[in-house]
Amino acid sequence: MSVHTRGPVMLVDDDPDLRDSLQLVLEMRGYEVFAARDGKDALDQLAKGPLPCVVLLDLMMPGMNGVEFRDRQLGDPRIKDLPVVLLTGAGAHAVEPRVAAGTVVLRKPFDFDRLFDLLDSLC
Amino acid sequence: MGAGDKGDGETIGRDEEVLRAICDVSNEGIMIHDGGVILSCNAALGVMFGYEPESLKGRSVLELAAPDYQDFVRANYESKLPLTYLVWGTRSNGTRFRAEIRARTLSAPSGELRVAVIRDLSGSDAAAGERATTVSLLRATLDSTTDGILVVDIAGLVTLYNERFLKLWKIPIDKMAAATDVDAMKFVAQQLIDPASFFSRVSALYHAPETESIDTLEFTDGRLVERYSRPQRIGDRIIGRVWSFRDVTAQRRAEHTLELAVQMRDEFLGIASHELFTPITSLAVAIRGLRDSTDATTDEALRTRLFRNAERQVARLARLVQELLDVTRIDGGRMGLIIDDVDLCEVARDVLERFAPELQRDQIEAHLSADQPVVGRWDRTRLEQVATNLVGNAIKFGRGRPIHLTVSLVDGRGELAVRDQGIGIAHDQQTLIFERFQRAVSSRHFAGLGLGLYITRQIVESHGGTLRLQSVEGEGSSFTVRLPMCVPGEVRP
Repeated sequence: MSVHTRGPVMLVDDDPDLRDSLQLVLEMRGYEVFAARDGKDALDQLAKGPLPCVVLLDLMMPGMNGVEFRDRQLGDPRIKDLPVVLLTGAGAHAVEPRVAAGTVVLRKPFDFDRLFDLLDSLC
Repeated sequence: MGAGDKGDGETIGRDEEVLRAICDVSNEGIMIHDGGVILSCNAALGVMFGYEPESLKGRSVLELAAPDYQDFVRANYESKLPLTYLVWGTRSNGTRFRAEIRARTLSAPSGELRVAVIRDLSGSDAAAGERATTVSLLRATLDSTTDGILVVDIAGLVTLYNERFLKLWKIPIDKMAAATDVDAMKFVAQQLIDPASFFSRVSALYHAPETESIDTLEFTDGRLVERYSRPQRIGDRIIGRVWSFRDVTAQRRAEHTLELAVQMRDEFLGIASHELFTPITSLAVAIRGLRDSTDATTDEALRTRLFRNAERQVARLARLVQELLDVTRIDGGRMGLIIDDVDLCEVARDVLERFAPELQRDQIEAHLSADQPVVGRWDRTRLEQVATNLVGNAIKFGRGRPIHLTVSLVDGRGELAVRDQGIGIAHDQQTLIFERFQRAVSSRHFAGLGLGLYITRQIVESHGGTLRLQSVEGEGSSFTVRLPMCVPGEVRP
């Protein structure tokens, strides 16, 4: 629909409905969105395509989860410096400091203005 | 006393005289008898029982015992053991009194003789009476406590124990008579899982008589017994050691069960909040999208997508809340069924239709084979829930491979089978998954409350049916529901 003038933003979440609606919302704000269903999908896309300016990363996912994605990312010089925003389920266990280090943590359901501000500053 | 020279004869005569004098001045009754026939006695015995001492000679000792104690007294002297015991005696005027007997058997040239010393414990002997009261109080206390108690003296001889101690360690009473603690330890060793460490701790305690100690013993039969040990003292002097044993099996099991329940609850709350917040977040995102799309430039198809999405989240939330409510109802035993004529084929067909968008999106094939209507007296909504849970699992764990549903009539029962070719379930997990809050795979990898199969099983069982699982890890799972054509106990209209 709209012309993408900002981004791209990579969105990694296993929940198809959340992925779909968040992609729409971000696209309406002018962002190009690369959607990935798990960590492996995200790594595959990052290996092949252009790099996004930020990765919105869910932690609890089937297949490769967010923690494993983060480990792989930090081990790959090409993508290790990509900014990451962690999207975590509220009430779930606190994010381990090792995982949270160097990221911004947003708890679900997240504060949109905070998210939009973050994206504005990163993209 | 046989032949001897004159000097020996004199010595013996003097010794006899001395002994007789001692006997005469004693407050306690003293007698010598041969197989129960009194050979001699002292004056005190006569006074105690109300006879002329001379007249007692040749009588049976049993005449001095209360009638109900005569067998006991006979058994005691026939045992020839050195004994101390309490009996009731009978005086010449017929009154009964409590007496303490100390007796032992002597070897004499003419045969074996028994010497008995009798102490009157009746009211006139206040100190002895008080002691008897204390002893009986102690005995009653020991026998009524739920702990097994063993007291050993400093030399390691058993001084005291109660019945509970014998029961706890399954020690026959004869094994315990005149046993040393070493004997007792040997007997108990075979009952312990780790006797070596028990013995090393026991021996450490003997080397440190001051020490108090506590630990828990594991029995081979699964019991857990708490052991406590402390020194027995008179004033500052340690004269022995008291051991007490308490069976804590039930208590420890309850604690363990409670711990597991708390752990399971915490885990469940973690999963539940994640599961509830996911649709809430999706709903919030969709609403935000709708809010941002109010200007005329937004195309209608996009708005419809967001609306549909929002509706799906509401349905998801409703389903989650329904699951939680179902579990509460099942736990409270309040799952009422609304019975009607229900075609199992229709149920399967409707449920598959409801999954159509999801199946389409994930490009999963689903096949239903149902040759003829299978109509029974069941709760339609609950069976839809069963089919929904089973198909939902087949999609979730089916690795995108085809899913097969079969409805048939087998041996007069309605049967619904749902088969997938997915990840399967490990053998050791196959019974667990039907329990509350259980799932075979990590919650990090698959969404859901882990309540589905538990609820499914409860629904099937409340219909009098069975739920069977066949699964090979890596190859897929097949769940089969079998239902009697009407719910047991339901009166057909």
